[in-house]
Amino acid sequence: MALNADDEDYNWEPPTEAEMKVIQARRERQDKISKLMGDYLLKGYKMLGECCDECGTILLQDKQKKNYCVACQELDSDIDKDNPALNPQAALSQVRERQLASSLQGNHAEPGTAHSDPSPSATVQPRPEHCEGAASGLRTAPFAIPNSTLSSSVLASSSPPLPANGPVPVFLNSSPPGAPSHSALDCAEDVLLQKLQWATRELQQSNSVENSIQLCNLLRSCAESLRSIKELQQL
Amino acid sequence: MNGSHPVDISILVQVAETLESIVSRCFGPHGGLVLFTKATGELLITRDGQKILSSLLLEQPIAKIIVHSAVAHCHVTGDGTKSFILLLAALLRGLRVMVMRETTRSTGRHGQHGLQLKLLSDHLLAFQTQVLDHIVRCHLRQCASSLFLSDRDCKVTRSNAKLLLEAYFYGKVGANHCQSLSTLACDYYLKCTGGDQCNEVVGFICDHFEELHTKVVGIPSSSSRILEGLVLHRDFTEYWPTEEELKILVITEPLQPPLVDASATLYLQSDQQLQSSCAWIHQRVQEILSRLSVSGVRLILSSVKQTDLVLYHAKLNRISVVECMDPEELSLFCSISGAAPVSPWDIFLDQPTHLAQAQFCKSILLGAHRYAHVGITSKSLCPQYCIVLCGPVSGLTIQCASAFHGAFKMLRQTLQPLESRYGPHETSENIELQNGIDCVVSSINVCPAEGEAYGGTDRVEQPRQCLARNLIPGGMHHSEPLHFHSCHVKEECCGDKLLEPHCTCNIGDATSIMKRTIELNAKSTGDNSLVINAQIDLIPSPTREEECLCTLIAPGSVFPVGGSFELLLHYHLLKYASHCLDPGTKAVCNLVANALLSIPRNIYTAGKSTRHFLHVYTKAMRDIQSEGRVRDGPKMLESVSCKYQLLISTLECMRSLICIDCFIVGTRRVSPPASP
Repeated sequence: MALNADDEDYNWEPPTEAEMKVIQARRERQDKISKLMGDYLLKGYKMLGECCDECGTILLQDKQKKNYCVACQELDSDIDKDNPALNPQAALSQVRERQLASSLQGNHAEPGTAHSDPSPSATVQPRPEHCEGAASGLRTAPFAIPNSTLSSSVLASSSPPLPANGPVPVFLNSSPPGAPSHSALDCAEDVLLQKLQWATRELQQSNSVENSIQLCNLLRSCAESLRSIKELQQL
Repeated sequence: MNGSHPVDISILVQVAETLESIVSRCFGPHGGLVLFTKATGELLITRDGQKILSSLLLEQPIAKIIVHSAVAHCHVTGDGTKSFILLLAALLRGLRVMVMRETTRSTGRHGQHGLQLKLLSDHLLAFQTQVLDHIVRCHLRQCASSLFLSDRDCKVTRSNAKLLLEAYFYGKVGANHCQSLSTLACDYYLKCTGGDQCNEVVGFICDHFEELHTKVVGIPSSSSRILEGLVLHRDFTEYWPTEEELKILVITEPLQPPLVDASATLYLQSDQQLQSSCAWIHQRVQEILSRLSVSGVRLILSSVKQTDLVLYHAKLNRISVVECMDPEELSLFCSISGAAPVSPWDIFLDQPTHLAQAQFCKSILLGAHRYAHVGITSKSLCPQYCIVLCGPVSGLTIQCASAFHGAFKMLRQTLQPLESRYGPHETSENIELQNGIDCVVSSINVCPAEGEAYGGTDRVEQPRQCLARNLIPGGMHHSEPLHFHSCHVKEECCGDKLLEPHCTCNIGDATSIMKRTIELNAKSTGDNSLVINAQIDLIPSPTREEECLCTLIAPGSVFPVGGSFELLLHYHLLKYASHCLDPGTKAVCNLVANALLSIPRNIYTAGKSTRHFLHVYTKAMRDIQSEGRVRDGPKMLESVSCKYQLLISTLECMRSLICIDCFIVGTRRVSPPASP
C-alpha cells in the first residue's frame, strides 16, 4: 500500500501545537458523539441507515418517529462557537480583539502584557473572563483578524437553522460601566442587522415548523441585542 | 428513504465506535451493568454482550452486519461479543488512519478510498493465511499450558477446569455469582464426563442444554444444584409413586382408537351400532393398558393429550401418565434412554419393544412448579445428570442459564484441536526471519553444498543430507542460509564424530550436532533451545510431524487471563513487521498489532487513567523479550482457540465490511421472481 512510504516519511514533520489541538478537539468531539449515540441507543432510540446532511453523523429516530442528529442538535458544532451572533463569549472576544487591535496599532503595546492585564488602554475596563475563549482571544491578538474574517465568512454561508441562545440578551445587558469605543458597538450592530436580514430571508423560505420557530427565536434575540447596543450607545 | 448510500470508512468507524461505547461499559472483570430500555418499555439490566447487542434497534445495515457477525461468533465459542466489537473498532480506527494518510499523501486531497481498501483486504487475507498461522504455530504454541494432566493422559484436572470456568464466569456474570456458578459447572462437567476428554458429551450438553436444565425463579441462587436423571418439564396427569425399577412407554399418538379414521366415513344406521362401536373402543383401551401393566410399564410419556378413558384405565392399572410433552424433550429422552415411540397397534398385537428402563420416577417441586423426575439408565455416553438453576428474579436466572450454556460451548471449543484452515505452505517471504528454527535448518542445509570446502568426502556429505531431509518438515521452509551461522557449523563439522559415515539419520548424532548449534544460536539470537529439541524428537515418526503441521492449536491449550495472548501476539507481530520487506504485509501487521492492544487496555483502564495498563504493558514486553512468556499474571486461565477464533472472526468481518461500496435502501420487500 504505502509503496513510497520511505520517500514521503523524510518530508514528514510533526504537527504543530495548533494542529495538535485541532486534532485533539476533533477526536474528543468524535468520542462525545459516539458516547451520546450509545446512550440514546440504550434508551431505545433506533439507529437509521441515513446520515445527517450537514455534519455526516448517523441519524437516530426516537419512539415518536422523529429523526435526531446528535452532533447538530446537542453538541455545538466546531465552527458555531466562533460565531458571534450565537455565542456571547465569541461576541465578547471579537469585541475585545477589535479593541486590542486598534490599541496595538495606536500604542504599540506589547501583546504579552495582555493576558496579565486585560486593559492595555484606558478605554477598556478590566473584567473577569467568563470563558477560556475570550481570554485566549485576548492573548492571541495577532491571530484575531484571520479568526474574525473566518467566522464572518462562515456567518454568510451557513444555512442550518441556528438554535436560539438564551443568554445573549442577558450578557450584553451586563456591559461594562465605562464607555466602550464606538467602533466596536457599531460593528456589533452591523453584524446583528445582517443577521436579522438573513434570518428574515430564511424565515420566508422555510417550510418546516421547527425551522420557523428557531428562526423566530433568533430574530427575537437579535432584536433584543440591538436594543441593548442602542442603550449602550446612548450612555 | 429509497436510494443508494455510499459507504465510507468514516461511517464504518462511526458505527463501530458507537457500539464500542455501549459495550466498553460492561467489559472485563471490573465492568458494570448496562440498563437498557426496550421498545416495549420494559427494562433490561445485563452485562451479557450478546443480549445487549441483539436488543438494540438498528436499521443501519453496517451495524446489523457487525452485530450479526458478533452474535454468530458467540454461538460457536460461547463468549467474546464485547471483545469482538472492541477489536473491530480498534482495527477500523487504525484502518482509517492508514487510508487517510495514503490518500492525502498520494493525491493531496480526500479522494476515493475504495481502491486502497480493496488492496488492503487482499493484504489481510495474505496476513491471515501466511503470517498469523505461522506466528501462532512457532511462538504462541509453546507458551500455552494445557488443561490436561499430561500429554498422554487426557484427563482434565479439577483445579484447571475450575480456573478456566472461573475466569469465564467472572467476565460473564460478575464477581457475585462467579464462584457458585463455576463450582457448579465444574462439578457438572466432571460428573458427566468423569474427567476424561469427552468431546461428544460436552457437545451433547451444548446442543440439548435447553432440555437439560431447569430455571427456578424466586429462590436464592445458592440453591442451584445438580440432579441425577432427567427432569421433564411437565407435571403428572396421573401419578403413582414408584421407587423400584420401571419401564417407560413413549407414545406420540392417542392410545384410544378413534371412532373413525380421518379419511374414512362411518355409516351408522342405528343407535345400537354406535353403542357397540363405543363398547369396542372401551374394550380395546382396557386391553392395551392391562397389557402394558403386565409388561412392567409404570409410566407413559405422551406428546399428545390422552382421552379420559385412557387416564381412567391407567389409574386402575396404577400407571403414571405425563401428557403434552415437548417434542424436543421427548426426542432427548429417547436418545438418552434408547427408547423409541411406539404405535398403539404394536402394543395390541405384540409385546411392546423399545421401552425405556428407569430407576425411579417421582414428582419434584421446583419453585412454583411441579415436574416429573425420572432416573434413566443410559446405555450410551449421554449425560445422566441435569441442572437446576435458581435465581431471585427471572432476568438474573436467565442470565445465569445462558452464561452456563456459554461456558460449555467454550469448553467444547477448548477441548477440540483447532486445525489450520490454510494448511502448510511454502513461504518465500520468511527469508528475513530471525527465527531460531529457520536459522538452524538453514545452517544444516548449507553443509552439503560446501562439503568440498573442508575436504569432505561423500561420507561426510551424506549425514548432512540425511539430516537436512528429515529436518525440513514437508518442505515448508526454504530459507536461505546465513553465512555466519554456516561458518560456525563448518568448524564443528570437522570434528571426528561426523566423519564417520551415516546413511540413516542417527538420533544421537543429530542431537549432538543440534546441541552444538543450539548453543551457538543461543548466544547469537537468544532463542529458546527447547524448541529445537522438540523438533528432533519428531524425526523418527514422520506421520506425527505431518499431524502437527495441520493442528494449529492443541486441544486443551490455555493461557493465563488478562490479555497475555494479545500482548504476546502484539510483540511477535511487531517483530515480524520490523523484518518484513513487503510493505503491504508490514502495514497490516502493524495495524493488527496495535489493534490487539485495545482489549488489555480496556481490561486495565480504570476510569480515564491508562497508567495501570501502561505498567502492565511495559512489564509484559520486558518479560516476553527476556523469557518468551508473560509472568506474574492472574492465575486464572482462558482458552487459546477461543481467542484465536475471535481474531479470525474479527478480521473476516472487517474484510467483508471494507469491500462494501454502497448500500441501497428500498421500502418495498423484494420478492423472488415467480417461478414459470
